[in-house]
This record gives sequence, structure tokens and C-alpha cells, in this order.
Amino acid sequence: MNRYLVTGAGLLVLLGFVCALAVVGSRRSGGDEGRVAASDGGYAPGHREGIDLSAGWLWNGLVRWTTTTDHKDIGILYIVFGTVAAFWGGLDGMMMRLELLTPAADVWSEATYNALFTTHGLTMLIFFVLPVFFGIGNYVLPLLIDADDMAFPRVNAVGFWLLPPALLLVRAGIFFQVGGQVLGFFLPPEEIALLLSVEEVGVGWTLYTPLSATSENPQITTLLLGLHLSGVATTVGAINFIATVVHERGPGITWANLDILSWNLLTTSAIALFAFPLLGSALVMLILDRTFGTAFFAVGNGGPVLWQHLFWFWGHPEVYIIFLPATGLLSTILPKFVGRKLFGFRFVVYSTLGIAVMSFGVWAHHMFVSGVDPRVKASFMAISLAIAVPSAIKTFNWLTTMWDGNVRLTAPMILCVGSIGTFVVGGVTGVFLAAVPIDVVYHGTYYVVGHFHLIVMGIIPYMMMAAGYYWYPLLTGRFYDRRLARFQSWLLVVGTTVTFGTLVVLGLLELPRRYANYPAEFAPLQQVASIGAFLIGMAVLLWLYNMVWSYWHGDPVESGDPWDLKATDQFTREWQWFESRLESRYGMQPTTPDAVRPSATADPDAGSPQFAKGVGSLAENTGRTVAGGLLAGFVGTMLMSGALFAAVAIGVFDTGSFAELAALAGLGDSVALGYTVFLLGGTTTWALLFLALQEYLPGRLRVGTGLAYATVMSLGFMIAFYSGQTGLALVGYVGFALVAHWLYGFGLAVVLEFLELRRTRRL
Amino acid sequence: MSEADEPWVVTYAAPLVGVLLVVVGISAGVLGGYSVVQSELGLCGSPSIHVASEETTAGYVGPDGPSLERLPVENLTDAEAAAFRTALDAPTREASIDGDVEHLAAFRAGVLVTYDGGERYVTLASLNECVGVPPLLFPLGVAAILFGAGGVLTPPLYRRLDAFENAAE
Repeated sequence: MNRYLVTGAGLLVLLGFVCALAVVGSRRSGGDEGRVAASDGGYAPGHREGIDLSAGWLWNGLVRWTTTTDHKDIGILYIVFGTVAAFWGGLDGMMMRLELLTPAADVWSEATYNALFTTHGLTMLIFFVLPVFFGIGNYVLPLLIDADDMAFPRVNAVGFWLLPPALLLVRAGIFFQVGGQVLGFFLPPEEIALLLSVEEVGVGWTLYTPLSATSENPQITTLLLGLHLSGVATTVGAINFIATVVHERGPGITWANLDILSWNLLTTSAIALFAFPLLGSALVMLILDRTFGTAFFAVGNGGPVLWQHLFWFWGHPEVYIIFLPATGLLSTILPKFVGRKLFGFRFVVYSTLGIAVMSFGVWAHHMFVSGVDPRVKASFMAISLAIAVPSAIKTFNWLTTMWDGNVRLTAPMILCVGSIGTFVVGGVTGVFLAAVPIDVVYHGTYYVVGHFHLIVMGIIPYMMMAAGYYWYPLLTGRFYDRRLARFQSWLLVVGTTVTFGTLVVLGLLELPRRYANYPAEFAPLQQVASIGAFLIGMAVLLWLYNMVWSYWHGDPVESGDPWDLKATDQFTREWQWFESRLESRYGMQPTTPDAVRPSATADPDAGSPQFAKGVGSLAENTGRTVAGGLLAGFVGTMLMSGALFAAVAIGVFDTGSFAELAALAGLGDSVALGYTVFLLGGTTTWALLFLALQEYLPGRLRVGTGLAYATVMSLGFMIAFYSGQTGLALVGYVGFALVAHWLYGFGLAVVLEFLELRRTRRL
Repeated sequence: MSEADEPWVVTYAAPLVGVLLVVVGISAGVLGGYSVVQSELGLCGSPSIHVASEETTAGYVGPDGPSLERLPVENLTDAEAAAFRTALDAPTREASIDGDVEHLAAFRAGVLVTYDGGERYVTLASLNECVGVPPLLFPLGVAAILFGAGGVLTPPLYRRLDAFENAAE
């Protein structure tokens, strides 16, 4: 089967599906006349503009959409373009998973499979993700910062219009090859030799030299030119975002009250501004190597490792370029559906800025199996491990925002929660990969594929869809089908988890990645992964159907506050703009909620509680807090010791474990010294860790927090101090260990609370 | 019917089972169906070879090159020789062997084929294997898709049924 024909047919079917929906929708739009719509799109309420397909209508539409400089229009163009690219690249992915249903390379050929994973990677990373985020940013950011438009509207349009030709250049191989096959029926081969010599690139999306420099396929050069053009477009867009945030903010919008999405888009643009020009330079060098014999990457000059350095100097910041806008959307959308403001706003911003800086110091972790000095690898390992910290700060803040919130499980919220889950698994598997010895083993396996897809699939498209659902009323004046959306969201989370969780397992079994064929014993797991991938495909099609169908048939919004954001004091600027438009255009009066529950307050009875005693207070009162923590830790450890000694007396706990602890600390085999180390640890390390983490732990009362903390700790204790107990002794050991830790947590919390009480009474 | 009135089994469980059936059906149906038509259309079973350029070949025959078997073109089967000569002139230097393949192992390992006073390095480009699944997979896959579609359509069907019964009352 010719893959190109299949790809073309697939795209045509998709196009036909969308067109059919559009036509049916337009035909049936008359059925809505009796409904009172509150549309913002420039047409009268109750009427959705139809499609008449006349030459005049088409011409007017063509002129309008190709010449517009309105940020909202360009935003929509970006989103539509990115969606088309996503379906194209997604089709590549589905075709790969189809091949992997069987161990042999029998559906497509090996060369075709290579081309599939090359084009899948490039299309998704370059032409899907950032264009969609730029689209969302284009539409929403000026509204959020009260700007009239982007700083450079015409440049904005140029930046977008560079992308379609860039995509066509990158994917031109399919057109050349199909064109050659079709013309081959009519013309002799020698007359179309050029077309017949071109095929889709299969050297991998990383374009490693020497393969990419020496392969004769002319499409590689075309692809490089397309990538370069896309890099120019991204740089132009990034400059525009930076200029807009810096210079176009409306009155009253300061750096202090700039919203979290704008912060993330600003940071993303800054990273792009540093990263993409370098990619452009590297691409030009590779083009020159291929066409002018400049030999930048030839052995004896820079060599293949030079390409890897240059590529990944762009490549890893690119990971954060596509990740940070998703976190910005999550930080924007999640609070709206829990009725609380984003917890630790400043620290989320700091973590974003921290990631931006650190993202330029981790690139060589992609090269741990390349010829790089081990000392260099060690430093990159350290930074790669450290960059997990700001990411974890975001995660903790999202979880804490949800804590005690009034959670509304809408489709965007399901996607937010799903994102946090898949991001945590994807992130933790990445922390392991940051360690050189582990990466050496797993670098060439499916573990890597599972890890990065849990990030790039597990949060990025989720947040795009969540944003689509959240702002759908603002864009269209209608609601989407909310039941279908919830189902679609769950389906997407299930599909992603099944697919990429299975790939992680395949990687742990050390199945090499990048091959079209594999040993038959891996077939069941590969088939599970493929089924999961098809679930993702179905979920995406359901999303598309919902978006298109609801454009004509969704319930019209009944106010400018369709999500009841006023009720939690989170009626942000873009919705204010929407409401004012509805009022000025259609006379729809603004609504006022019966009661407003503040989304941030220190008084739990007044509204959503905000943890006032946070990291700030710890920093301000370090001495007092640490002293209190030490005292509380000592009391807790003594209480814990009582339970442990009881366990020793019963015979379910072995004091030899203390001796092992002493030996581990280099103090010999002494039980007494081991207990002293234990006492010191309980008094200092674990108590201070509790002080640092208590804001993020569950429990409205500090005692509850202490017990939760101690419960988590007990798992580590049980493993570390286990000395071979079995049967009932094991049950007793586990029970006493748990009770001992609860006593520790209780003592810790009660003493801290007592000290707090004493201090406030003194005040 | 309000959202709260609708059983979750109808709203979520039935469509989920339906979608699962559809995706399993797609997997089975595509593979099963393709296995039927693949060999009929001659889309598999003919391995393809790649003939390296003169420059690349020179790198293999020099004193520092690997030790490679040499195979005169006259010793190749007619189909192998035809594929070799086709690949020599093809823009991508590849051609499929449509006939007897006796030297598959040599092509897989890489071999120097000598011809007309010259020699070229030849390797296997692709085995072009046929999909090896039972043909029954196709009808079963189609059935699964149909059953799955029923599951996916359960919520709207249920709503219509509910509206019908309410209207009847």
C-alpha cells in the first residue's frame, strides 16, 4: 500500500468530514432562528452566518482572511493552521502505531516507517504546538492586558503567513513522490527523474549528521529550508509578543498584576528569541554542507557532535517553549473551576522564569551516549535534575490551588487534572533519565518515547483543548456539547495513559525504539499501546466534531459570564471585554451574582482560604521557626521512640536496624550511635522538611497535616528499617511503624501549634 | 432531559465501551482487510535492494574497507540481476526483486556485485513482508466497529427514546 496515497486519502477524508459538517451546519442553521443567541462574532443574535459558496462570498472571505491584521483573526488562523498540522502529524503517528501492531515490518516498509517518525516529530513539534499557542495568545493576550492589538499587527500577519509555505516545504516530499508516481503513468522515467528521486525524509526528526548531510534525497534540503522559514516566523512572532506585553499594556496593567498566561507567553517568547536564531544558523550550515561542500559537520571539522550540540541547544529550550504556554493555560483555567485564585502566584512566575534560564543549561543530556567529556555530562546531569524543582513548584501550586476548592468537574477541569497526573508521571520518568547511568541504559529504548510523550501529549494538547472549551463561548457565543466534552476529555486521558504508560513499560523491558520491527514477545504490549493511540485518535475526532457541530448548534450563551466567574471574583479582563461587547452590540445586560465568594482570603469562613503562613513567613522568621521546628521534632521523635521501643519489646522491631544506620553514617556497628543518628534526623531533617512542605500537605488542621506527613514518611521508614520480618511479625512491624510515625506527626504538629498560640497571645 | 437525570452508564460507560470496540475493530479490521488485498495487489513479498553509488562503493573496497563477499552478476537469478540493473539507473538506486531470490542472505549482509568490469555494494533495502494475520480478523473487526458505533450512539438514542416515552405519556 502506498503510504502517500493513504496519507492523502486520510487528509481528504478529514477535510470532507469537516466540509460536510460545515455544509450540513449551514443548511440547518435556519433551525436556530427561534433561539436567542448572544453571539459576539459580528452577526445578529439568533442567526449564525451560513455558507453560500457563491463566487462573491468566497472571494470576500479569501480577501478578508488573507489580508486581516486583527489579532483575533490571526489567532484563529494560527489555531486552524496548527490543527491541520496536528491532524497531519497525528495521522503519521497513527500509521506508525498501525505498523507496530505486528512484530514484522509488513504494513509499511522500513523506509516508510523511518519517514513516518521523522515527519511526525517535525510536524507536531514545529507546526502544531507553537502555532496553536501563538493563536491562543494572539486572540487572548491583547484582551488580557487591555491592548488594542498586538504591537506590530502587519508583522503579526507576516509571521503567520510564513508558516503555510514552511509546512509545505517540509512535507513537500509527499507531493513530489505522489506527483512522480502519477506522472509515471504518462511520462518516461528519465523525464521525471527529479520527481522520482525525491522521497519523504527518513533520517529522524533530529536530522543528525552525517546521515542528513550525506543522504542524496533532495527533499532533505527542501525540508531544511522549510524549517528555517518556520524559525523566522517563530522569531517574528516572539518579538511581537514581547513588544506587546512590554509596550501595549493598558492603563492599570502593571508587572505586578500581569496575568499568569501573559507571563508565560512572555517567557516563552524570550526563550524562542534566543533559541530559534541559533537553530536557523545551524540549519544554514547544514544546507551549506549539503549544497556547497562547506564541511562544517564533517569529521575533522566540527564533526557530527557539533550538530548535536547546536541542535539540542535549540532542542531542549524548545521543549520548554512548547511546555510553558501549556502551564500558563493550566494556571489560568484551573483556578476558575475550583473557585480559588492561583496559589503562590509569585512563585509560579518565578518558577517559569527559572525554567527559562535553566532550559539553556540542559541540552547535553540528550547526548549522554555521544562522545562528550564525562565531566561535562556530570554538570548537565546536575542542571537536568535541578530543573525538576521549578516544574515541581508549579505542580504543588496547582494541587494546593485545588485543595479545599469548590471543584467543578467541567471538561476543561478534567483536562487540567489529567494534565497534572500525566505531567507528574512524565516528569518523574524524566528525572530518572537525567541521571547519566540510567540514561545510558534507557536512552535508546521506548522508555524515552513514553517519557516525553507523557509530557508533550499529556499536558500540551490537553491544555489546548481545555483552552478551546474554556474560551469557546467567547469565540463563538455558544456552548459546546458539555456531556460529549466531558466524555471526550476522560477518553483522551485514558488513551494517553494507556499508550504512553505502556511505552514506558516497554522501555523498562529495554525494547529499542525507532525500529519498524521488533521481537514477537513484545507484540501484546505494543498492541495495547496501539489501541491506546487509537483511543487518542477517537478522542481528538470527537473534539473536532464537538467544536464544529456546536458552532451552529451549541446552546447560545445567556450572559457575558458563562462560567459564573463573578461569583468567585475571577471575572477576568477577556470576559469583561466579552460582556461589554454583548451589551454594546446586543443590549444584553451584565449579570450580578447573588453572592460573591472571594477567591483569595485569609479567613476560611469568608471564602476560599488562602494559606497566609507560607514560604514567605518561613523566610522572614527563620530563626524562630527553625528553633520551634527543632523542639517539635525532638518531642515527636521521643514519642515515636516510645512506640518503637514497645515494638522492640514485643519482638517485631530489630534494634539491629539502628546499628545498620550507624554503619551507613560511617560510625561503626553501634546501636546507641545509630539511635542517636535517628534522633538527630527526627529532630532536624524531617522536622524542618515538614516546616517547608506543610503548606502543600493536606489537612485543614495542623495535626491532620502532621499525620499526613508522617504517613507518607512511614513508607520510607518501613523499607529502610525492614529486617526480614515475615508473617505476623511483618504485620506487627508495619503496624508499629505506622503508629510510631503518627505519634511523631502528632507531637510535631501539637508543639508547633502550641508555639504559634503562645506567640500570638504574646502579640 | 437534564444531565442529572441521565444514568452515567448511558452517558459515559456505554460510549467508552463503544469507543474501545471501535478502536479494537479499527486495528483488527485494517490489518485483516489489508492482509487480504495486500498480496492480491502485489504489494508485498518482493524484497527490494539498494545499489550504492560508485563513491560509496569505493569506500568499501579500499585497503581499509571491510571484508566483503563478491558476487558476479552472472551468478544472480534473472530477477535479482534485473533488479540490480534497474537499481543502477534508478534515481533512488532501489528496485524490487520480482521473482526468485536466492541470495537474500548475501544482500542482507551486504555484498559487492561485480558487473561489466565494475562492482557495486548492494544491500537489502526492505523485505517487504506480507501482513501475517488470519483473514477472519477483517469481518470481526468490522463487526466490532459496528457494535462500538452502537455504544457511542447510546446517549443520543437513549435521549430520543426517553423523549418518545415522555411524549407518549
